[in-house]
Amino acid sequence: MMAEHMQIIWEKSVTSVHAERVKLIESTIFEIEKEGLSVALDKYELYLVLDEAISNAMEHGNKWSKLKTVKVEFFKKNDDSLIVSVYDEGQGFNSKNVGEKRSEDDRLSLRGRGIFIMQTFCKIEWNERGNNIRLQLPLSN
Amino acid sequence: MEIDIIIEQSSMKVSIHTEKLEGEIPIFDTVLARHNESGGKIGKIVFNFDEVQYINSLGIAEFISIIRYFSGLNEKTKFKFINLDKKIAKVFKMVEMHNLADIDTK
Repeated sequence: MMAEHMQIIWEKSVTSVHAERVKLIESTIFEIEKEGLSVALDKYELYLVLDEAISNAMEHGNKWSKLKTVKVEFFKKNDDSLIVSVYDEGQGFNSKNVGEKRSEDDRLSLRGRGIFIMQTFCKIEWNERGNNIRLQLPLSN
Repeated sequence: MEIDIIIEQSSMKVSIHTEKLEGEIPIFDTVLARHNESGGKIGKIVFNFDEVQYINSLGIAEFISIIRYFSGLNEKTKFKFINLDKKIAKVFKMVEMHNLADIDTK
């Protein structure tokens, strides 16, 4: 179940190309810091978590279509966490099986590792359609 | 040149000369082309990560593609990653790369 709508602090949309992906990650981190928000991850981990969410949206959601955009927005929730929400324009997916233990056959699968990485660092959830992921990042201040 | 590949006898050494591996560098295609040129059996592939500071799951997928390809050849090829930065080693552990290859950190 997605959290109710909160007041958005910042948002930005870009087309689905590698160069824009990097800029979107960097500008999201810049804006989080500019707002004086300190998440309980180091910069490497925060970059990685945002990268996985945005890369997943561009790769699996928008299939790297230059005609499709990825939007990132963030807002505070209850003063103790930051929600970063990433939208794509893809068909979505069934997120119900996410988090199940990987089987032996999954070891050579090309997909699914980004979600494992994100889950290591934060809580994640999707909307019903599966084209909007929300990262819940604990705040340290 | 972002990737150097040397094949000596049946061993392939892949040196990656870039700081970030984010799926933009076609490592699988480069390895496959080099293997096709050589035509020989590859018993071991060593990936040197000395210059790599960052990898995401798109970058990891390039190496999974290589491991899948060579596993499909049924030549019992072994895989090794060397000189991994500790943060990259942590990411590799998260996604269980140690079940597919030997991993040596710096």
